[in-house]
Amino acid sequence: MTETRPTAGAVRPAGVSRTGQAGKTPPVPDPALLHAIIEASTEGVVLCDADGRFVMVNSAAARLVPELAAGDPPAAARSLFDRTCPVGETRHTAHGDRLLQVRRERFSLVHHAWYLRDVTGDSARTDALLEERRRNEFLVEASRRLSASLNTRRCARATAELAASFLTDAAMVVLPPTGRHASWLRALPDGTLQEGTIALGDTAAVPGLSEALAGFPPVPSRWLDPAQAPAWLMPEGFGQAGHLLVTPLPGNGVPAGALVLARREDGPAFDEADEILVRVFAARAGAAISAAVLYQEQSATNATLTGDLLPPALPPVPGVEIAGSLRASQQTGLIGGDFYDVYLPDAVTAAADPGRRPLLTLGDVCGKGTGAAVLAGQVRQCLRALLLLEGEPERLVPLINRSLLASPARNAYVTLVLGALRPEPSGHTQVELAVAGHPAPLVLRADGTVEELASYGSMLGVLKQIVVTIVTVDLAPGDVLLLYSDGITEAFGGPAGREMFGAERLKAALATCAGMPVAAVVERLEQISTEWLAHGEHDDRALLAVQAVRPAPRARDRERAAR
Amino acid sequence: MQEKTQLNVEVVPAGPGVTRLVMTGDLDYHTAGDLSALLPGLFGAQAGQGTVMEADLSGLEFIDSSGVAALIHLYQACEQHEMALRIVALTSYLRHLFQVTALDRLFDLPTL
Repeated sequence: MTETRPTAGAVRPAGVSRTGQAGKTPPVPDPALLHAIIEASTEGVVLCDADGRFVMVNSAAARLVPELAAGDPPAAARSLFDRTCPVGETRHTAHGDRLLQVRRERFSLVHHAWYLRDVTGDSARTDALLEERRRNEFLVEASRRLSASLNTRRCARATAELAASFLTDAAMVVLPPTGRHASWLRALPDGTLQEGTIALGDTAAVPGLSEALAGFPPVPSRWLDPAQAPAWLMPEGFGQAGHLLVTPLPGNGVPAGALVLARREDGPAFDEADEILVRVFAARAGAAISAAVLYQEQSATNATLTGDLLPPALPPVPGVEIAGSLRASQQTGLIGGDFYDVYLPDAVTAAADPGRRPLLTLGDVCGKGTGAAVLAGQVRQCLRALLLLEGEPERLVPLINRSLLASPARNAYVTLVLGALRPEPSGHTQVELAVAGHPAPLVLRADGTVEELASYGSMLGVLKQIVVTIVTVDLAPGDVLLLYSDGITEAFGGPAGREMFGAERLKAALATCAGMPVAAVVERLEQISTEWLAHGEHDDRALLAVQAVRPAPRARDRERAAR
Repeated sequence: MQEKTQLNVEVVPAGPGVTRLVMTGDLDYHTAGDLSALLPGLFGAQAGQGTVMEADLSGLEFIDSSGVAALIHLYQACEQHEMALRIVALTSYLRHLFQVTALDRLFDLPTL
């Protein structure tokens, strides 16, 4: 027999059928020949006669089912040889600790043969493969969910929920302790989520937890006595945990907390494969949680640091209305190298120098982003300090220049406009301006005329000797003085996308704002500039506008007018 | 700007003791570093050989504050190596920019 696995009815052992055709009565094949044929098979073969009695058992079959012998099937093995099973059909039947694949075939005209094959190993391999695939799918899902957030709590929640859905009956994430407490989140397979905090001292009561929180490698589950676990560790109604597994969540250099898994007493213990899977999962969860912790810490630091770099709220200044707009070049950043500010003299300065005027500034430091924002913040602060001693733009500008030259920062180059405001009882406001290397301010008159101030001055932070000319502009009530940064005029965009907005377009746009309140002027110009840019990349853009307003009539005047 | 234009700097010998830098493209926040990075090599190779550095800026399409800073660095580097920086060609836009920032007092610009 060359074929070890004849398929249903299609192949008949050649030697046997030839013998069958030769005789007139149903021939009985030569037992020696039959024996040789079935012994040649690596499958277990049990030959039986038409009544189902065993005629011959090959040695492979005898190895698989030792109790087999010629004659009636032994009771113990009867389930294997179910004669109701159709010829050619394959079944799997457990026998002892083996899983056997059983098939019945016609063998000769008088015999049937049972073919037996041990598939215990195949099945175990298949099960292992499926299990491996399930674990991989779990880890892929875990990575997907864990990478979706940079929020510590959400990462911890995903960790607990993933663990509860796949690994255990209750999963608890204990986050790295802050101060004397540690926050925890607990998830159950039914989706229940609980949260709380524990005192740091209480973590010592849970076997293995303090060690895991300190980042020590996990100990095998079998070393942990679930009976020692305190009641608070388990959800209400959970009962006594039967098996406990405590795994550190390794972070970037520092532990990111610990994962506590509990299975019920009647549940399976954590085997080695479980512990390996949990460790791999914990590594991913720990990385996600520690990234989130780091991100949140840095965000908080950033928020603190950028707080002073954000555009300031503009204080009310008598006699004028002021509005400003600042757009940072980088979409994600609120801060950039353009700045503006308005300074009112403090009480001491005002008392000492009654002539001291409110001062406004708009400037642009070299570069973009955080570095530029830091320098812009320094210039604003420097100006605030200088104003305690000096109020004249003409003298302030050289002082700022000296301060910048002394700055250790590379590229501490700044262009700016300083303006001192002197409102008059008539409603006019005189503005004394120093323009240092900055685009010339524009003035919008009430009739829609736009003037460009003739100004000249050095960029600051470059040279020891600078030139600054002072221009004074008289704003009648309704007139608007506009300070802007070159990000407005040098914005590339327009219909073709590569055209500069330019000073002429800005003047034309400003001319359309006659009669508007100053906040509307700034808003409109900002909008026109943004539309020009469409979706293009842009520099930082700053606008600051001052409008002279007629002083509100005093109460007594109003009463007189009413009579 | 939507399309990034690169900065190209060509170093051309322009007579005895004169090195000429021909810059084309955009000198801005993104490319200013390229120019600054060139400087050490430039002076390393030319050390003691030249007395004048010429800059042809007529091919610069755009320059921002970072670009201006890079030119200031170039000026300062020249000063350090006792070379004169002469701007031999520039666009009207650049001339306006140098006037606004009063850098026309620092840079040696071609007369109109």
